[in-house]
Amino acid sequence: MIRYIARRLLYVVFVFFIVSILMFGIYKMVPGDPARMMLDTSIANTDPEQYNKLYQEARERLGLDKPIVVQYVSWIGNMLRGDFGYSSQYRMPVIDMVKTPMKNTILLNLASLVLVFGITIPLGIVTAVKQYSVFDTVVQVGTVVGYSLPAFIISLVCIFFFAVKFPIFPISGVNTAGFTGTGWAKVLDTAKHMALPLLVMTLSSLGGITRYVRAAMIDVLRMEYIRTARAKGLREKVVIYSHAFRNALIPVVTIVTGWFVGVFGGSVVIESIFMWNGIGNVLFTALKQQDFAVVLAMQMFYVVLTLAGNLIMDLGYCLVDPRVKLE
Amino acid sequence: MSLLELVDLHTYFRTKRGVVKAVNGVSYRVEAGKTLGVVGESGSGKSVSAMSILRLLDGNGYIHSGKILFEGRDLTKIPMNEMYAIRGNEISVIFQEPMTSLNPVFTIQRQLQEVYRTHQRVSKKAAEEKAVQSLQDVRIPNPETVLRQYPHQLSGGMRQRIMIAMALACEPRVLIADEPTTALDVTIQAQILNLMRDLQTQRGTAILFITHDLGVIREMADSVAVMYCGEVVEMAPVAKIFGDRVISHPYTEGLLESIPRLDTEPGVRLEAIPGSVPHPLNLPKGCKFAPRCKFATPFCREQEPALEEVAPAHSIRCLYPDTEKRRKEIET
Amino acid sequence: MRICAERHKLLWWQNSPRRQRSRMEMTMRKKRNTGFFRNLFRGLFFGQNTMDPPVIEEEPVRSPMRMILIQYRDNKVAMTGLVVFVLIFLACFILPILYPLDPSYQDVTQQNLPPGFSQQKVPRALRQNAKQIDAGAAFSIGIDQNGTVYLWGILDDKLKAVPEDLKPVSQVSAGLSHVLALQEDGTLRTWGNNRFSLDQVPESVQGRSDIKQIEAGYQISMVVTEGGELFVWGNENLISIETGKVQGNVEKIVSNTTTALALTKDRQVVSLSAKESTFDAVPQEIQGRAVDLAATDKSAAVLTEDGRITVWGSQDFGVQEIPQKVQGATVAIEAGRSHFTVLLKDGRVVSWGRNNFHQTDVPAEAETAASIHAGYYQNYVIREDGSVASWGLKGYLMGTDDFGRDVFTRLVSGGRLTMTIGAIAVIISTLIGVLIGGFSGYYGGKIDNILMRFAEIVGAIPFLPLAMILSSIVGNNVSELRRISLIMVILGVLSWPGLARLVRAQILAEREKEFVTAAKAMGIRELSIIFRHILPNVVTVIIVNTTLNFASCLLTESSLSFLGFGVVEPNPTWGNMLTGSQASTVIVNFWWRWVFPALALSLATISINLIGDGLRDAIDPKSNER
Repeated sequence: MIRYIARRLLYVVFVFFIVSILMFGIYKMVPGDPARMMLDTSIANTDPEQYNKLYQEARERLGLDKPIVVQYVSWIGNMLRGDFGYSSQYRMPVIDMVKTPMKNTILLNLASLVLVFGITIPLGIVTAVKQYSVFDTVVQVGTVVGYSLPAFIISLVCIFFFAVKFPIFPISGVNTAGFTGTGWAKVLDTAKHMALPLLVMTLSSLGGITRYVRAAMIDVLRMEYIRTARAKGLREKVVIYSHAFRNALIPVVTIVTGWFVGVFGGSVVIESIFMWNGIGNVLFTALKQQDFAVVLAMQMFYVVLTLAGNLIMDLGYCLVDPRVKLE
Repeated sequence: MSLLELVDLHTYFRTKRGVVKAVNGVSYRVEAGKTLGVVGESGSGKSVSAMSILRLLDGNGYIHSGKILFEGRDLTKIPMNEMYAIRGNEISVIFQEPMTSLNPVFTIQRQLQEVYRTHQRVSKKAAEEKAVQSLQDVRIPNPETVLRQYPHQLSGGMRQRIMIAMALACEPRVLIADEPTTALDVTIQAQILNLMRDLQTQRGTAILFITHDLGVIREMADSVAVMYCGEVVEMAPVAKIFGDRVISHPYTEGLLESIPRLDTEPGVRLEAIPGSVPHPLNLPKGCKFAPRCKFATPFCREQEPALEEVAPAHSIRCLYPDTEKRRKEIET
Repeated sequence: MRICAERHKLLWWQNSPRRQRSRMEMTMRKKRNTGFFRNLFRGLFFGQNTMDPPVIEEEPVRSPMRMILIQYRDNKVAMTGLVVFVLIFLACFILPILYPLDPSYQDVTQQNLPPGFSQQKVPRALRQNAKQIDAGAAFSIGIDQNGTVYLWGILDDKLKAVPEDLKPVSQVSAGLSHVLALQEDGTLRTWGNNRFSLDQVPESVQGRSDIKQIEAGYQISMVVTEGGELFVWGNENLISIETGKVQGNVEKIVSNTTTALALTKDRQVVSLSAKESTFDAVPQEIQGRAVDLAATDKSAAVLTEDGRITVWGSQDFGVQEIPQKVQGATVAIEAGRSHFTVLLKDGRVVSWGRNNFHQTDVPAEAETAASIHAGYYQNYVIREDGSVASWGLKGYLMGTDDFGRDVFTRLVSGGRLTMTIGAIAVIISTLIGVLIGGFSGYYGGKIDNILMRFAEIVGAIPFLPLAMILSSIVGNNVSELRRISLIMVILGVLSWPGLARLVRAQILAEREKEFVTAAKAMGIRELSIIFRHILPNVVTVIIVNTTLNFASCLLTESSLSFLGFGVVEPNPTWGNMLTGSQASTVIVNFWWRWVFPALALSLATISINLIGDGLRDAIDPKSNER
């Protein structure tokens, strides 16, 4: 078990370095000079010599005068120490800039995780058990529609209904502009602003995962050990929720993390539509404003997130499937 | 009164292409402490008739008509609650595939104790002791270790023993064994059969033994029901089936002739029944065996024979039950 | 034996011992095969002619493709999906030919118009006794013989608010979004757009009753008095006009979206533009002989005493190609935004210039005209008996967007682009996926390990952010075509790992089957084994996956374009047509701008997913529970 985890960990570190080299390569292809971006361009007009001097200093400070390998090593070293570079747009270190967005994104995604699995797992089980019933058919049609629609269309429809036709929820921001309340007032205000992005995020995930859970459950319900469990005289509830679901959990675990990572990536769309100040929105604005230090840091964050997700998935596998341990 | 009796049972399956009549008017009896062997090819309805007893049919299967009498109670009529109390407690089942019949994510202990805790109000401690005892009963060495293991860590023979231990845990009156040895090696097969027989003599359990293997039937059964296309075609004590065969069903005869035996001369070809079981949605008119029967007459293809008692305790569904007579018939 | 072999067909894929036997026979009789690829093709789609084993045949065996088709046809939901998709597909690839898209086209006067064809719906009451009509940007105004005012077309609340105390009217003029009406007592009324004081008659004009001509233009109002005085009010920043040089001498005034021209009492034409403009170059030979005047956005035409037309200014849209038959026979001239319409002596009407809304396609019933009235993209003709005929822009099927572009045209062209990008991306990803999955699965060992780790790494990078980054870094400063190709490549290159994994797993499973072992044991070459034995079984997985992948590529492309990192304006795709639609003003007021693209995209992806599901069910009936 420990050896298995250690091997996975080693592999994850290896992948991390490969991907970081790739990312650094892409970053280097960016047109534009980061040293120039750091400087106040107005000096160039008033005092060109002073500007030139400052520019050379900035180049040295950023290490742009060194060979690319040295640049990579110092960059990755900085990364590992928690220095993610300097945002040319906000003129502050990236790490300070992304703290709040990170908190917001994690809040949104965790809430959505709870909602999505709170809904899809029971729904998947019920539809699998009542296969071909009217309820099942209705849910099936709904799920096809659900996973065929992109998040931005669901967003438009949700805005139409919940912000325009029935103005219940605000459509942008994390808090009301100029909001100063604290404590419960603030929580309530945030929750209200979170409602629509959360709804969209949840709706756009429901279809796929419900179908997945249902398929996994149907596969399991066909297994012989389910008949054995019934033959033992166990009640149907025990058979389904203990024997069958425990097995269906194995394939479901593989998608929980995959989905979670995908949602983090996909939340770019939702966050930018609802102006939710999360890292997706930060990435979006950074790309729009060509603030590539932020972009690179965000991308590395996504990579780390994915790798961590895969690692968690492996561990989860160990927990739910006793057969894995022997490997 | 028999312990368990099927009376004119019809079990059907709904499919996209129509209703499949998997069991079509089957009657047989299981006597207390005795073994009834049910033989037939796959698709003959032998397993379905047995699964109907405990309502363990797949989602699209249902009992259309007929009675299943267990100690005088009709199992087709009782509410589900009572059925739960019968399953695994008074009637239990062993399945064919020991590899897939145990839940892979639970320990043996958990799966075994589940039976006690469902049917008997026992403490955890008592259940544990009982589990160890039951594993010893099925001759599993070091049961304490096995209890803590998962099914994938055990061999097929071991798993089948555990299945038997689970089935016999509550000392049931009837044990349905659905091809329990088909998936096992021959030596293991013999061990399992011996074990079952010993346990039967110790406890007096009646066994409904389903198999396509006539050799196993001869070993295990007291009486035999031969099934074909959802019907019983011959029913007799085991001695009569394997005896002189003055009267028999041509299908039984064919089955017996297709078994390789140690005493046949080398070089002599085995007699095989030509063709295969007809599709259940496309059954022939008249006798269902007629298309494959070498003695079939035009009459056979027209008229469906009934199951008739041709000798004491011996019923046959054939227009020409007498072996000699039908040989002559074919010659003329 | 051979005759027998030709007579029966056997499924190559029916998973039974018979199938495996027949496969071996197939390879043994290899010499008889005429062509490798022909056979592969036949094997894939029509089944192979092989020997039938000596067993009683219970069911007629059909070729696999036919089986799949039959299975598929019975699936109502999947068939609906197929029909819907085919319709969308045809619409996206045929309609753009009929309604070609000019990406650079914009029209400020046609912004955000709702769907409908009401622009030429002349009210019944006016249809038989019209006196005068004038066309605005998307609406028209007319008066009947009694001086009653009628409005039709796309009217907002302000335009609908006809003053209740309006007296009988003798002349009307329609502008972009306001109207002028001259009452029979010679006083002026105006309503509609209330910006730039357009809804108020200025004090200098208020008291006057000697107004001769009125002209409502592009956010501007102009009146000419009997005495030749010219009054102008409205958005004078947009229209540059200098009235000084003609004041007191004006006979007629015409305006367009940039300036105005005047016909003076001494039959001269004067460009009133304060800045230099194309209109300044008035041909000298017509000066003193002009009787009527008209101006499109970029050109002007003058009618001289001899019934001849002279056009100057821009040559766009053939406005200067004056039909020969009008020369010397014209009695009146009118202009829209980019076309001219003239009335001839004999009552015939001729139009020329731009024809994007059929504004120059004069219908037969317009032949006996008494007067012509053109504006923007519409033309009206009033005959002697007061009846009305019209041609030109009737409206938009799906409305227009914020640049005045037809949503329908953009929708079908956008669909074509979206589908093309999706299809090419999916082809790229399928090629990569099949190759990598195939090598990985077939060779196994180290190659498998390396390739699958590679797939894992590619799959490990969150898709949308990376695609955004690549598109914004690499896609900057390149031509639109290269940018679009780049997006296809990015989508294709990032989305293959799933398929590679599936193909690999399927090949691994097939490799274990007895018939492959048997083929190997007989010494059949490896390549042949892959193509003849393994590929047919993998093809179904590929087909299903490609279909489903197509849907997800459409979604990803749309998401990218929606965010502004895919195809960018002015090229339309379903994604970028929705950009900015989340603003509540768009959602509420301009619903047609988001409902139609959203509906098209949703229908397309839903139908493709239904097809994919249906195919999967048809190919593998056991999976139909999924």
